[in-house]
Amino acid sequence: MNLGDDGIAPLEIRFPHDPKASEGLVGCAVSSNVYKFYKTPNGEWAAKKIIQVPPKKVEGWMFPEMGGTLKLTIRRLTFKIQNYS
Amino acid sequence: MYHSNLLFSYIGMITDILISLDDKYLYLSNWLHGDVRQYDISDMDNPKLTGQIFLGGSILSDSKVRVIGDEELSSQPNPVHVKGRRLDGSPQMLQLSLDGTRLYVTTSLFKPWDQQFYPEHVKYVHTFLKFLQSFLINCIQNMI
Repeated sequence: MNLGDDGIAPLEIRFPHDPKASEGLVGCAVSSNVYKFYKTPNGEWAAKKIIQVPPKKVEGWMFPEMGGTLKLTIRRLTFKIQNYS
Repeated sequence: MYHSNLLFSYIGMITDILISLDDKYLYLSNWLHGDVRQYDISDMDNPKLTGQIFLGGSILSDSKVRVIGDEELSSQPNPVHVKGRRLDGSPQMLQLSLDGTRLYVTTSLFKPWDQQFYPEHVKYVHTFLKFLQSFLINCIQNMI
């Protein structure tokens, strides 16, 4: 199942403790949200977003000196930079 | 290198989620922001935020990071001290006791990231881990 552009880095999957449940939750680290995945009446699996942790606009945070791979990973995946005039 | 007068959209970075044994509550940790949240998921399609506590993180009131825009909070949270010790680092992994009344929280993600984002936490990691073994965070009581 592909969660799309707003479900980046799904890390943790958790199921309800009811053994009959055909649904679960997955937390996505980078998009910072939680999707519920569930079985539809025709037997297919679908997902919908149920929680979004809103990002905060911050300043004063500078990229620390770090190794190349980690720096590229963080830049690409973690932060959106907004210019202001 | 980015200049500090550029605005950043700073994600929470959910690193762990947990469902309570009675399936009523969802817990999650935001490793960059620093909070653990509790949601009532009795209606799983419409979760309700029922608890939130900051246990460190990057946006504390004495951090170099200044929050310019926040949809939820009106001020940056204060640092947290437990038994006379400041909590460095940020909540990462979560586990509930089997009776559902105690939430256990650990802070390390993995070393390169800990080193970059929470260097003080790494510096004190030996005593900090020992400290974690000997205290419990009664988050449930704080949240409800």
